[in-house]
Amino acid sequence: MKNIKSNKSIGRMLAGGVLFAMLAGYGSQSLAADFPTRPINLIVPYAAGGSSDLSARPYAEELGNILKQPVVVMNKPGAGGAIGAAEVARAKGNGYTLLNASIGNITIAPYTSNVGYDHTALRAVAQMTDIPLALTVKADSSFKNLKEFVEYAKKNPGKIRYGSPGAGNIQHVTTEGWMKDIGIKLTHMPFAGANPAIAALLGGHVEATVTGVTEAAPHHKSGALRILGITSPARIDMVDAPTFKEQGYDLQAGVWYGVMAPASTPDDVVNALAAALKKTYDSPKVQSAWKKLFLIPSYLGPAEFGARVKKEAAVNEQVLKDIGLHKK
Amino acid sequence: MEFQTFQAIPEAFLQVMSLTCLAWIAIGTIVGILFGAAPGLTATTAVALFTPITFYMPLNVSLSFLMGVYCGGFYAGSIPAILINTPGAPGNAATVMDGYPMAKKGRAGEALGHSIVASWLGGTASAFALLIFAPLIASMALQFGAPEYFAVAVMGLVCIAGVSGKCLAKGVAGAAIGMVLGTVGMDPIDGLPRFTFGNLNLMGGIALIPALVGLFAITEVLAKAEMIGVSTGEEIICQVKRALPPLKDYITYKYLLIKSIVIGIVVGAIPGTGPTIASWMSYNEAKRTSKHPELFGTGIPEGIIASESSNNAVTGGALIPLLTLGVPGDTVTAVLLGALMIQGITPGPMLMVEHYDIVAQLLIILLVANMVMLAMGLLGSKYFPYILKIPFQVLMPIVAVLCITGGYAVNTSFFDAMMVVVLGSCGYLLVKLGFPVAPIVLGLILGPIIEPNMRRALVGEDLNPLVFISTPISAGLILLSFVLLYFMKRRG
Repeated sequence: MKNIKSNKSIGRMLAGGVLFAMLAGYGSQSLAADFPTRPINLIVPYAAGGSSDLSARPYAEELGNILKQPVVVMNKPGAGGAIGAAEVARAKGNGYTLLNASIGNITIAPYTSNVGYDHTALRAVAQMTDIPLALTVKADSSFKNLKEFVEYAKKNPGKIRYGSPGAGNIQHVTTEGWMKDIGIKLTHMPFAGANPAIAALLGGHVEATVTGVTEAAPHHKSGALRILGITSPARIDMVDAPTFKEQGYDLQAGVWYGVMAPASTPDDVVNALAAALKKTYDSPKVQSAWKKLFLIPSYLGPAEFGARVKKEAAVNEQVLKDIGLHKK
Repeated sequence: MEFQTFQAIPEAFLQVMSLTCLAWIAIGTIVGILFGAAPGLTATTAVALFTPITFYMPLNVSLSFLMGVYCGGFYAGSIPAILINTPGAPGNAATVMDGYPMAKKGRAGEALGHSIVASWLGGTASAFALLIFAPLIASMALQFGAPEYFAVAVMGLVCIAGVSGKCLAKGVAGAAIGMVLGTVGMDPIDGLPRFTFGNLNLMGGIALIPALVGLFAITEVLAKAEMIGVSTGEEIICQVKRALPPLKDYITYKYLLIKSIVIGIVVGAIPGTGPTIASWMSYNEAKRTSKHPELFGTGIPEGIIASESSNNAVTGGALIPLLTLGVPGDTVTAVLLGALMIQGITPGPMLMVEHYDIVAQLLIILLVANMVMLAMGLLGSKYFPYILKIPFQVLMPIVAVLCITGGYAVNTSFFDAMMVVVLGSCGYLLVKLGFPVAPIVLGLILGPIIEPNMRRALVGEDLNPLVFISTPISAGLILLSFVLLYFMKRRG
């Protein structure tokens, strides 16, 4: 008897809850203060164990602790990150489906193929890490600095072969844009990822590579390779290498990872998430995990991150048009 | 270096011999065996899934667990290969050739026994190779540029002749079908979508695991469905007298073993190749040099031993470029790279010098994991064949469900699950028309190695076709391919 009674009351509570939720749907703005009330899915658009996955795992756990709701990492790999990104772009903008976005799937993939979204389908929440690119040569190469490299390339167009982690990757697109700016011609050799490109450089099958500094740094430290320049605005702690800027070349680029949400996500949910992400970012545990993975922590809030995405998307779209990779 | 080596090993041994490490090696091996044995799930999936768990473990525990998964996974793919004609992972595809016919003859237990012992020998030998020859093999792997990769894959193509069955033309046609399927997706050199028909899911290409599961397992399920209700003339007897194969077999096959293991270690050490190519090459080589090549494919131990010793030898081989150069040798070691980095260890040239103790630990763990794998495998070999006692009409639907789930699980993709069904149905039709499945899979694996490397080699040398014979390694490999073909043709 008692059971039936309690079942009834549970039923009433459920009905009330449903009604409340329906009303809440109309006034979701005012309820964002309670966000989140259920687990959040963080879509990683690459396979488990890859660098996108590794960048997300440390902060997902901490973000869950801060928000008091689990943040579940879901790997949706395929099509260079476009499948997972497209899924988030199509999702409801309620803050419960987020994307561990990166420069390639947001500022390049939408312009090379019909992926069904572009950066305007998503809202920037927070940038978490940023890894500069590195132009690297073998340690016994005759190029001691960028100037020598560029001078040789000017006199011998196409003679220097540079390996990249893949055609249409940010490393490729950035290098092509830079070549055009300063008027040199290098021969592009795309590989299936940064590690094979580095292996080809170590074996002398290419003369240079453009990869994330992460992959080049250990070899620079061991003395097998030499990083001629990194594309960050200033030198970084991870590796003792000069920047492009200090050698007189205006090239700034980086592979960033950050959180993006569907474009329809309301402001206060985005702000609540960004605040929680800032706290996550400041946690020493997360910082040390990233540093071990050679990911360079670099936080940008919704406005700055959004501006960066917009600017880079425009630049990359133009370069893709110039090099004939833009979708027809 | 030598002196340091001897000092580090006993210490590492003591570290690994703790209860925690041994327990985690055992857990890892069990996880690896489960993932390896389930069609569609592989050692790569397991290592990738469990790597985040190891983030907060101490280093030796993390390595114990992951190495256990790695070794167990590479071996266990042979279990379904032998029992249900479905390799658990691409690296075990060659095991199907003789493993399944042997099981059909009622010798499943024996086949499994050969598989586990050969896996153990391969894995253990490769661990020692890692210790002794690592720097030498690593520097050799670096010699491999685009022309050399092309030449290795061409040599792999020669294997098609060995696995084509009755009709060579159909084998070659199958390989061509596989290679065409391999061109779907992003163009590896130009970075533009190709044959995707505007479908986003096809941009990543036809994933290997769903293709493998579809072509082998679904095809087999459909073929078996035909036999339901018909009295099966080939009742499988699954009494297992002994799982441990007689030692004298291995003395007889010593050259076969040595060759297969060397192929496994060397191919494993070349980044971007892996167990599939190694096991097919070993199988082919075993068949070519055998006194009775006509018996290959009918269910003889040599076929299983060649394939399994070789694919487990890849484990130690693939760790060589990872530990010495910081360049992963295959997909599993690519995930391991992340697992090591989170522990604050950067694999690369300095690791051997600065942290030899870690390398020594890894070696001991690898040896222990192989022992645990042997024990579990021998025990299991007695009982796994009982799976075959399950009637077809019960077993085959279970296999089909597992396959489709496995196809989904790799990338959490419904599209991949559909690919399993579509490719399985196509595979069934092809088999009915007399096309063997193995060459299709081989084409699908080799195509994406041959094409980008051929184009990369040509682009790098101003489109000069002589690039393929301009270095000693690539010229030698191409010459060797022709020599192999000639001998295979002469022997029929």
